[in-house]
Amino acid sequence: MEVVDDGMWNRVPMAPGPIDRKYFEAASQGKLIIQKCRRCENTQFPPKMLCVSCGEEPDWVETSGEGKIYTFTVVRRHGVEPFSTLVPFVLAMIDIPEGARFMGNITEIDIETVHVGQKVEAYSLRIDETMALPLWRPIQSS
Amino acid sequence: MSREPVIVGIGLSDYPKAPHLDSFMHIAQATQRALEDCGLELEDIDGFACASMPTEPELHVEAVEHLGLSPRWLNTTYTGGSAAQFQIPDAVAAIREGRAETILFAYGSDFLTRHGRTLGTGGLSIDSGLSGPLLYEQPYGSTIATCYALAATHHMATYGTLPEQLAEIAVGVREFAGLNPKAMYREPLTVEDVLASPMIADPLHLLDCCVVSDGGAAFILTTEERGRDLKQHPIHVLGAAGANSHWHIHSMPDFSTTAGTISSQDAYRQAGLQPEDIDTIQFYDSFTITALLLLEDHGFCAKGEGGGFIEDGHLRKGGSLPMNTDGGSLSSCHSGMRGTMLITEAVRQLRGHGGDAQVPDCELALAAGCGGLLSYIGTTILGKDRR
Repeated sequence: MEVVDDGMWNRVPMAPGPIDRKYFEAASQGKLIIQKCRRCENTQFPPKMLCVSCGEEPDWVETSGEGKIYTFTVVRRHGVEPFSTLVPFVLAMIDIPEGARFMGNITEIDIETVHVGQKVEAYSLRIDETMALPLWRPIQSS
Repeated sequence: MSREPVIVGIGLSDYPKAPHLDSFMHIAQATQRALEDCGLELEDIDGFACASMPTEPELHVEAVEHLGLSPRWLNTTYTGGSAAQFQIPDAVAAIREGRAETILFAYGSDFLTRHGRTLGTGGLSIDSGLSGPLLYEQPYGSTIATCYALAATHHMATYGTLPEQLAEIAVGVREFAGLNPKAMYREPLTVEDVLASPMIADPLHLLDCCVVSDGGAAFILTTEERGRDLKQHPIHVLGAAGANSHWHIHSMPDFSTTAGTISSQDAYRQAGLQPEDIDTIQFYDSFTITALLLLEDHGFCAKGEGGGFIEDGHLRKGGSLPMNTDGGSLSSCHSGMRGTMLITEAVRQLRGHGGDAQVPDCELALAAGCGGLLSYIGTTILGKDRR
């Protein structure tokens, strides 16, 4: 996925622990990754030390970075900067076929036509030298 | 000597705006009023249940000290707004087993005075150095209101639920608030008023969201034997259970279904009752969608049919299942966690003390708390009489 660097990360100071850090580091290298259990093949996100299905230590797998909107909202009021200056913006849950659900913003979209089931693709926004935050935008061909 | 658990005393502290009280004073005042209500003394209390909000993380142990208690039974389980509902099952067992004789439940907060009204739109989520599960939500501008909006959109897209049907919940609760002199907002509402109020997060308008207030509540649980010679008719705890499906909204398995499907079935089974037996419901109404999901998940209508059920007026004054007869959190009082207030209002109705808001022939009430982000659902069934 594309990594966009606007040089002005101001959303939230990020201090992820060791497992979470791998996810944001992968995003900075253009990869959207989730966990898959080496024993029972359960997929899960967010990442954890153990597979919540069988307790084994999961592996990481890369996904296609494409999915569909499971549900969404258009945020009109927000009490904290910078989000209070970004309204209205789309906040959605995105399901990917590999078996995970993400929260994310859908950008480059008409907020009047955004809908459940819409196809979207991931890209990421650089946080710092080592991490980036996955975001989503419509797949143009759909 | 019956050790069946009964609720004998209830009390509310000053609300919805009480700048003269801090959280401990809310708890103390509600406790005084609950003791006065039933005729017990502070020294009779040997069990204590209280939960702390993240904004006051040691409230529960500080409250024990503030009240001068040395409880031999203590439960401080925190599940958000359903904490009382999650504490009741063990309190009931403790009473039955003799681990406690008389248990005080108390919660109170000066939430409005201290924090203002921005709880729902992220005013508390400023964080220096974010870690843990909120890494996957907060950088996207997630707030409490957006979490519930995501559920509302999902229900609408899946079942065709309409904004007008959600609005009708707020209208019905406001009608009861009009009968409560202390309620924060009492002017009658129409569906059009709700739909014309500012959009917070589609499809939830301002009037789909609860108030932010000060307030506290207490109730006292003891044995049927002890309850016999007190001042009020004792109210029986017939069923009590809790269940969870997630904590953060990103891990909710199905955005239209809560763990109330499990907690309700456990509670109905304990009570030997069905949804159609219930005379009034006191539901967590942090947002209109919260009440709609609880309604379906407690079996009052089929999944997806809540919108039509609400439109038919069942939840209104004079309906078959009056809901939130004190004006709920949508119109009356919400000081962070409302689980205790669901119980005090259910008891008021079962005693027949509801005044203009009294549900006729009210013998069975169901209270359902919702904690977190539709995460921890607790169900309590109360009865005027033992069954």
